[in-house]
Amino acid sequence: MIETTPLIFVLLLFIIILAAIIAIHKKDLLHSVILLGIVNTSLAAIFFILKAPDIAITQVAITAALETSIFIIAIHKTERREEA
Amino acid sequence: MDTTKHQGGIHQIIINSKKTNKAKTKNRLDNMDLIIKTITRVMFPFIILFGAYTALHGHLTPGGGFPAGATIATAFTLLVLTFRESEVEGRFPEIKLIDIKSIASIALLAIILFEFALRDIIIQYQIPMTVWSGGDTLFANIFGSIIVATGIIIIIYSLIKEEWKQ
Repeated sequence: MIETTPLIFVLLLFIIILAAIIAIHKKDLLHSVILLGIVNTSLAAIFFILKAPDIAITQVAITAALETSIFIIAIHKTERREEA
Repeated sequence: MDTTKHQGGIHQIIINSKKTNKAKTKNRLDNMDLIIKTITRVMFPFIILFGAYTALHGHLTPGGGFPAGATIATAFTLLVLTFRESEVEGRFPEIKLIDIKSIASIALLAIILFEFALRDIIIQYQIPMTVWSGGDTLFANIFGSIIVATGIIIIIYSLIKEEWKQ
């Protein structure tokens, strides 16, 4: 796997790490949730490349869609901006 | 020209605009944009179709009961998040959802319990590598997806209903 690592695989891993780090440092929680959606969608693409399409479908349906909507409802119930 | 009056006027306008912005952000879940509403209306049947495909083809292609149920629940979540209480009210009564979930659970339990008896009868009439194959797996996937979808819809719906009450 390491010898034949495609470039897109490395690119997706880089996007995941970058989006996760930005999501931690963002003060606006809605932006963090959107960045988490990017992380989860990229993770689903990685699962698809690793030949696990059923896991990819579940990952997209649960984490990228439902988790994001639940986070949005929770943010709407509390505070949008994190205290400095 | 009286500049103090002019400055006061601008100051008042800024304060008023801030107030209206606050009011808009407070009710942003109730008053969704026209673009979001239109895209939801267009995408809803396709998401349901993909969920149904995942459930019905679960024994032939990647998928199964859980991803199918989650996909269908995502479509309903989008609908409930986008539209107002008056537009959604009456279409998804919670008691009906619980009834559907209970019936699907009993059906799934019956399939699991009587699999040894049903398998031989069903397999006689099935054609391999088509949708009508795989023994009882097809029924298990369908009822499993219904259980997952109704469960997630009840959770999201009860969360949103609290929001509507406020």
